[in-house]
Amino acid sequence: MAFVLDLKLLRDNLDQSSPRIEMVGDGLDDPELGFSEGLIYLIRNVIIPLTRKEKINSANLDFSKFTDEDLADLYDYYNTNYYDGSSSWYKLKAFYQQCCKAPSQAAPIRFL
Amino acid sequence: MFEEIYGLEDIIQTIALEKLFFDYKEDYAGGIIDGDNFYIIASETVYDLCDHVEYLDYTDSTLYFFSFPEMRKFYKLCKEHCSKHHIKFQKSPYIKGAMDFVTDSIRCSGMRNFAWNYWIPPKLKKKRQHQFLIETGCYFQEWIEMIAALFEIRQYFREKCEELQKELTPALTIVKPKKAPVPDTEERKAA
Repeated sequence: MAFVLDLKLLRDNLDQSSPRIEMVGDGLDDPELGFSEGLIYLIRNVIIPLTRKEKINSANLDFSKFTDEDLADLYDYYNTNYYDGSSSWYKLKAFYQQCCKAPSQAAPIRFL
Repeated sequence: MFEEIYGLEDIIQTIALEKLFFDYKEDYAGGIIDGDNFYIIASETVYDLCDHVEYLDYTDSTLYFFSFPEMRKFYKLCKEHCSKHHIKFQKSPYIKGAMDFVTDSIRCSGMRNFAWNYWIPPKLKKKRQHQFLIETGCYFQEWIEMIAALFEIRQYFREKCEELQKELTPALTIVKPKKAPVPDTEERKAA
């Protein structure tokens, strides 16, 4: 399977994209993002462990820290920031996996 | 980065279900959240709550008959309350309150593709114990909303039973035993 990568287009799109990668980690508390405390709790205790393929036990969740609305917002958050189901997302995923599998090759270096 | 969470919608619904279990089930210890089992757990919970289930071929719908033990006890206590206060059974404030509560909780539950009926038994007969019925259509999906409404209704009847029981139990007055009079020291000496 061959991929033709337009590096300029990729770089331009990455520059214009929303700061998704930062939002996964510690930047969730940023008031500019407008996330409720319940949603932040759910992202940290549900979404992040699930992306790491970890199992969640309901006994470890504090149900007083989030509401039903936060649960509804969680699905929207995931679709916006992790997975949008679009064909471009799948293409990018396939490309990413291809790169991960590719054996490392030493690039030829020229010394002047 | 590209890790997909398969069945997140079911996982979220399972979390909502677990939240209900922790709120309404006593001594619930929790467990591993598995989205694949959501529909099994949800339908089993409804089956546990209802007395009888009937599947109707001609409408492709399911009938759930409910008569919680708390509900039966409530009507029994209401009968006692009405006879004590000389009120007609149908006009009892408890009966009216129960009807309003059930109607509100079903209407505000957010369920779709369903029908329901709730009736006040004119006489408490063993033959007709079912007082609450829900019919779900083939496209019914709001299991969480249904279970939440059912737990809420059961909790209401439980609380009202306690209230009625307190009202019907005659207030106990604590009678302190009278102390025997202590004879004076001089009388004692003379004796």
